[in-house]
Amino acid sequence: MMGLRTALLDRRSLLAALFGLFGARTGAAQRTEDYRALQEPVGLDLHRLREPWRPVLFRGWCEAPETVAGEMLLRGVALRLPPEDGGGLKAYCLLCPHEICGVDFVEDPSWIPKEAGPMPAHPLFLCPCHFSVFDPVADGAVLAGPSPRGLYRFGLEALDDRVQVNRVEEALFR
Amino acid sequence: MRPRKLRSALGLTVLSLLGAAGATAELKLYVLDSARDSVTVIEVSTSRILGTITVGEQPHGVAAPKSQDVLWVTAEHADLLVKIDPTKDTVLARYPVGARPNEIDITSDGRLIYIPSMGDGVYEVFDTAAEKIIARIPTDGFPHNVVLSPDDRFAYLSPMDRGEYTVEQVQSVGLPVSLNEKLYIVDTRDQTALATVPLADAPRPIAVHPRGNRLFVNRDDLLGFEVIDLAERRVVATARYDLSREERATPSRSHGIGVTPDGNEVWSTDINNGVVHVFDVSAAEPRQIARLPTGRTPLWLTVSPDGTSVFVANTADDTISVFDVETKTERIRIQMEKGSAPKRHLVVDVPEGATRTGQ
Repeated sequence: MMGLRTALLDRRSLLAALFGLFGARTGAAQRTEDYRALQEPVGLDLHRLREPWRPVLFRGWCEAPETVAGEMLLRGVALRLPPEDGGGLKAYCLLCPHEICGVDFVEDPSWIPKEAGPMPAHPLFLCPCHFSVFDPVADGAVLAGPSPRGLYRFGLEALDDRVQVNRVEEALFR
Repeated sequence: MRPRKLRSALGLTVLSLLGAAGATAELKLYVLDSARDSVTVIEVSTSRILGTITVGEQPHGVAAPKSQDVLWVTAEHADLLVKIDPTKDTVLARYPVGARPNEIDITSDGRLIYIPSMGDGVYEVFDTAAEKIIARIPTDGFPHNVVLSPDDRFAYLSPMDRGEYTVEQVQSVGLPVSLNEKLYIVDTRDQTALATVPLADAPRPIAVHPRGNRLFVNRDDLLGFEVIDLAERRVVATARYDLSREERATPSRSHGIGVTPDGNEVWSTDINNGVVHVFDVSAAEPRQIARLPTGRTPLWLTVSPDGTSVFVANTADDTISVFDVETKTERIRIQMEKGSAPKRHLVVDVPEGATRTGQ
């Protein structure tokens, strides 16, 4: 079990960050509160997100000076919740916080292994590696399995007829 | 994984002739259905699924001795070691073992099985003749993988650990709290730890060279593998995958490694980029010679005993990729039952008298 930092960390990069060299890098990562900005916002057509539960996949780049590569390419999914669950837009990173396997959006919750226990009757996220289950209605909260937390969330904003995904939880980089 | 003796061309010819007359030896691939309680049996020559064997919840480890006439499987969530007859694909016995048994290995004579007991923080040694645990070897971290040297002289233990999880989080699920960044070398004559080899982070899957002089180690923080010289007992080389910018920036890890029986190639997976990387390890410094696309989340890898094929379990797709070692191409992708989450697997050269699953 491990976090992303352990997955990608180079000792020299960590030391450089700790000693304040991070801020001297060109295009230093910008952070607001608990989120880190994407290098460029990802625009999604609002009409693709009109229908509840219809997943819209996207990718976004992020500066990550803590890592060997110095940057991260993150895959996510945006979706609209149904009216009975608030009708809002959500965007989640498709990486399991447990061991960074890619998680699946499971539209039919009957596919969730029985061993996970009783599950909500709406689409869920499932990690195929160790079967953690996440609830998109509850901000990606973990419902079952070994993941230590829910899915990392992207921040998004609606602008006219588009949605911009522009930041990701800072916790992903710890 | 440990390599096994190459089958001679003459031996293959004799077995083929016997096949015309009656029962013959056959290669079968045993795949652990990690989301189920079963093992799926696949006929290697045809890639046909022959059936399944019920073993216990969440099968994790599999091993067979040199005789290939018995198969052993651990069921992690049932705390069981299961003995299987591969000629009939039936369960012969189930033995209770320590908490959460993981990947296993067995001596060539089939006498001793080394079982990582993840929940207890020890590696148990099971005597198959006495049918009981005869030793427990404590380690740091979570006991997870093990490989024996080709001459059975040493057991190489590779415990993982809690990584970024807090002590409280790990304690709450009953797992060991200590960290581990080393490989253990155990003397199989008296089950004592002779030495440890320091690593930069917790080791994951490991594979031993057929000459027993080197060990190849996946690590979570390395897209590649380390090479340990077992005589010097230290890391002597680090192999890194050749990656594009996008691949390098994609959070991923290596989890699945194998050595061809001739000792010339190491195959190692990259789980989130969906690639198996092939390295020439005939010289001191590994050199990448190929990269082949796999299915989604390739979490385990096995080399066939004759060295002609590499099998990769694509856990998220529920498929098995079968690669041709010589041509470096994917020969076939076998679809398993949806939701079975195939992981560890083993090719067994089942002796004469093999029958179909369930017969």
